[in-house]
This record gives sequence, C-alpha cells and structure tokens, in this order.
Amino acid sequence: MDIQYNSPDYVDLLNTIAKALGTRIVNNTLIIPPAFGKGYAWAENFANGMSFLVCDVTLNTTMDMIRESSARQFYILQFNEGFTETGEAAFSNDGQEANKYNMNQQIVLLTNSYISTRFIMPAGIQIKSIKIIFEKRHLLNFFGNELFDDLMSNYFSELVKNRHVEPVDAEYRSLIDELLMPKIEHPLRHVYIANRVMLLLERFAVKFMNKMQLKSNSNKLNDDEITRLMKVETLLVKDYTTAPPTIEKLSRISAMSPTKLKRDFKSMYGMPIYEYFQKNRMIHAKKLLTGGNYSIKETGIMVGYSNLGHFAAAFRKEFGMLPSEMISQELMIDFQSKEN
Amino acid sequence: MIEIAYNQTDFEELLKHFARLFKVKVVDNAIHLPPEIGQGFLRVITMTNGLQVMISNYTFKQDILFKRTKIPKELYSFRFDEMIQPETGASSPKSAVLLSNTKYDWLFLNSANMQLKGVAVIFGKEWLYNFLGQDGSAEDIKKYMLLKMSPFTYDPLDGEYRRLINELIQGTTDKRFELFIVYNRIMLLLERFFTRISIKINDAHFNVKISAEDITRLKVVETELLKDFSAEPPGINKLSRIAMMSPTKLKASFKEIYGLPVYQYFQKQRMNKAKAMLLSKKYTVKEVGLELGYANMSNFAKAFSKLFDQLPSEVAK
Repeated sequence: MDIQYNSPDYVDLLNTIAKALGTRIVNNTLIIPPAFGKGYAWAENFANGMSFLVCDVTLNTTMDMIRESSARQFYILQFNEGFTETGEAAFSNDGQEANKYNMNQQIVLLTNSYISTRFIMPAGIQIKSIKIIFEKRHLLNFFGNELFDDLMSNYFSELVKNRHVEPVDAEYRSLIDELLMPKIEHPLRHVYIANRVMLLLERFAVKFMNKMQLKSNSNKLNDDEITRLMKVETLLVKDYTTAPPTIEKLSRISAMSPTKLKRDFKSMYGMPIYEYFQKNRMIHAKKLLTGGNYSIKETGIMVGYSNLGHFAAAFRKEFGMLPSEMISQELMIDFQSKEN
Repeated sequence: MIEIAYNQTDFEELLKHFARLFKVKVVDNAIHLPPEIGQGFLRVITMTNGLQVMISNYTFKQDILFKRTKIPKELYSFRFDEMIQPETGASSPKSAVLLSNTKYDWLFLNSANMQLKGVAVIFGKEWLYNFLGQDGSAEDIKKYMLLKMSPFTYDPLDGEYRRLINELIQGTTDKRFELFIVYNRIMLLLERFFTRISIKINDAHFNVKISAEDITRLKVVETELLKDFSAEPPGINKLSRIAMMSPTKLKASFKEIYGLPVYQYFQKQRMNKAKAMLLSKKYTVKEVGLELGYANMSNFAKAFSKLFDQLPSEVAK
C-alpha cells in the first residue's frame, strides 16, 4: 500500500491514512481496522505550528509512506523502533538507496521537507514511532542562527555518509515511553506533550553536537557494525533483574572481538558498556519509584539489588540523592505574611 | 540581621540592586557574595521570549530578611527553594515551591548558615494563560489562581523538584545550549507545580461552579475580614450584607474558595501576620499580641502555638 503526502500537519496525514484504510479518525486518533492489522496512531498540532505524531502499529500489509518534497521548509525528527512478533527488537538492513528508510530500525532520524523520502513499514512488524515536525523558527528562541545551521549542515553531511547516525538509546527510550500511549490522560495534556517534545529535540541537538566535537578521535563504523552494536545495546538493557550479559557473550553476539566491541560501543553510545548498563538501570529504578506503584524495596529487587544499601548507594551516585529522598514529601511549615 | 527591601520585578534590575547592597559587581549577569557576607552566587538568565529566571546557590553568614514590597502591577513569582540545614546537611522541611503575587507584600527569612539553592521565575498573567493553553484543567487552574493568590500557594519540594533544581544550579558545560536546557527545565518545574495544583483541585472537589461575580464579592468579604486584626472581626450578618448573600450561602462558598470556615481563616491569617511581625524582629511579643487584638498574652501564646507548634517568644528570639 502506498501513501503519498507532503503535509506539514500530522492530523492531515492521519486523515489521509484513515481514508486509505477505509476508516476515519476520532479525536485525532486512528485505530487500525482489524482487516489491516492492529494498533493506534494519534497526532497533535501545536498552536506554534509544530506537529507531532505517535504510533504503535502492526500492519499485515507493507505500507510505503512517501513524503514528497515540499517548497515549505521544515524538519522532521523521528524515533523509530521495530519489534518482531516474539517481542524481540527487529533489525533490517535497508540497503543503501538514498532517502529510503525502513522504519523497522532502532534509530533517531532527522530529515527535511525539501527532499522526498520513503519510509517502509514492513508487514508483521510492530512499529513504535514518534515524529516531530518543526521549523527553524521554533528553535531560534533558544539558540542562534549560526548554531542551528551548524547543527543541520553537520547532521545532513553525516547522514549521507552513515544512515544510522543516531541510535535510540535507553535515555531516549525513557522519554519516548512517556509519550507512547494510546491516549495521554494528563490534566495539562498540551504542556505535558510539548515539554517532552522539546526535551527530545534538546537531547538530539545536544547529543549530536557533542558527538561532532568528539568525532576527531572516534572511529568510523559501518552500517553492519552499527546494527550489531544496536543488538548488543538491546540485549544489555532488556532485563535488569539479573546480572548483565558478560563481555564474552556480547562479543559472540556481535561477532566482534571484546576490544573492538568495547571501543565501538563507547564511541556509539558515549560511555563504556557497563557504565551504560548501570546508568540505564538507575533511570529505570527512578521511573519505577516515582511512578508511585512500587516501594523502594520492590524497586531495588526489580533492578536486581538484593542488598538495599547497595541499591541506595548506586542510586545516589546517579542522581545525587537517596531513593527515600527522591520520594519523600516533607510537610511545609507555614511561612507567609500578608500585610494589609 | 540584614533586612533587604525590594520591589523590582525585572530580575536584572534586582540583581543590580543586590550587587549595590553587597558592594560587588555584576559580571555576566551574575554576582558572587563577598566573603564577609557569605558565599555563593545569584545569576539571572533572560530568555528571548522575555521570561526571566534567577538561579541562586548561596549561604549568608547572618540572618537575612528579604522583604518584597507590593506593587500595583500583578505578576506571578515562582520560587523553587531547597534549603540545606548547616548542622545536618539535610534538606530543611522549609524547602518548598512558592507561588506569590506581586500585588502582595512578601517576607522571607534566610537564616544564617542555611544554604539556599533556588530557582525563581517571574511572569505575567498573559504568559501563564498562554502556557496553560486550552487544556482541560487550564480553566480550573486559572480560577484557582484568581482565588488563591492572596494566601500564597505552597507545594512541598519532593525529589523530582530537587533534581531539576540541582540540574539548573550545576549548569551546563555546553554554553551554546544553555538557554534551551534552562527553558526546558523551567517548563518541567512549572508543569509539575500546576499538575499538582490541578490534582489538589480535584481532590478538594474544588467547586468551580461558583460564579465569577460571587467570587468577586467573596474577595471583598475577605478584604473586609482581614482589614483590622486589632478589633473583633466583623460578624457574619455584616459580612453577609457586604456579600449580598445569605449567611448560609456565604459560609458555604467562603469555605469552598478559601478552604477554611470564615473565622478559622481569619484566625490563621491573624497568626500569619503575628509570625511575620515577630520575624521582622521589630516588635516585642507583647506589641505583636496587642496589635493583633490580644489583651491577654497567654491567650495569644496559646493561639500562636496551636498553629505553629512554637511559642511567640521562640520565634522572636
């Protein structure tokens, strides 16, 4: 199935897709009809002109989404993840055809509106994706023209050389998880969504520019190596209740020597393997804890600590405070005055 | 004790004011306290969209009483303050988020050797309404703000607030993205505050059905009630005439809006005023008691300790 569009407006795009699937959108939400698969997609247009799309779908026909070039200049930042039926992270090599991407990949991708791009959503794969449309003016409040142009020109020249410039890492994932829901029930829904969208843009910009600065001493990875490293990463953060896989195991899976694996992982994810594991384990713990459904003890066990003292120490190392401090709600002493 | 009065609403002006008082220079929109006064810094960041942020991390050697005097212009001032106790290094229970309105005076006592890590933001009603947008709870929050702005709004500081404040204080090594990072953290702080307000509103079954007209009348009642603490408060019949409501309706809607029955509210505000006067160290306990209509000092002490678990003499020390 082909969908062609060039709209800077995701509500509009959802309407187009709904029509092709013989259904319609309700409250900016599209539910995939059973004949075509399952899942949902919803979109939101912000008052400032930014547009935002969230989807979690499994289609039974491959869908080819073709974004035609547009005279209007805007950018699309997307975060894609694909999973096979068994829930394993899916990876596919989509060849090297320019401006054609398989959404079945764990990547962060920035594209622009003046070049036509194709996105393939393969049948039988669960695709989780978040897409953000923004324009230059949306970021100029925060950083100047020069920095913006620097970011874009560097990024697009990197993208030509390497199609997997930026992997989805666990930190992105924890932000994405806060948006990947069939419906956001929040008293300040717009503020909630806008803030997370801005955080995703921030993280992308900061992370990419930092990487460019370090680039001179980093080594060049090819597409195949990157895919293998992504597999290593997925395995690493899959289960925190048990000890992380050993370097030997990871090295077998990635078909790389331990030395190469360690060096390449660091250059791609910005930190050594076990530091990355530990950091994301703590991010996960924090999420469990602040979600309010688990006690400190339960959280500790869920991230693999049988000794709560060790858990508390590790937590403090990451966030500068103990788990108990993170959830404490001390009462206020009234300290106010009103003079008439 | 040093007393610092100010009414600046432009943070850059305020910083200059502090700089003059502490006899230091403003460098890169920041001042560092001279060693004879204390240590630490106060820093102002002005966003391109006009939003101003003050980030501070300081300890004074002696008690400082900050006194913001009211101005006719209505602006909202947010402070997210974490206070660290010198003896234990632990966060003080006074750490809180405070929302106040520049139409009212406001006092803040910064005790000697207490480290304060704070983030302050100031903005107008329009900015706030724009921020809240058209969300489901936005209308409730706007109404709540209209009503609850005379007693200040507090929220205790939990870990998530503290984490964001610490991120802002530590700052970023990459100055190019500073504005973006600061802006996003401020937005998260405000999101958290207003989300919690809206949860509170729902918990309290906050009645948003009271008409705007009734709200205005109740505000007149509230002003009348708190006009003079030295005399007996006006009776319900008098207030009911002012409000043009039946006594029953007045009592019910007053409680709905101000969270307390009429005379309990009067009493609470009376004691708050007592505490503020005592903290200013300008009055004796007796003067404060008399000013607030207590001829019998032990009655005053009893009423005061009922609310604050502390005797007036302890606060006056």
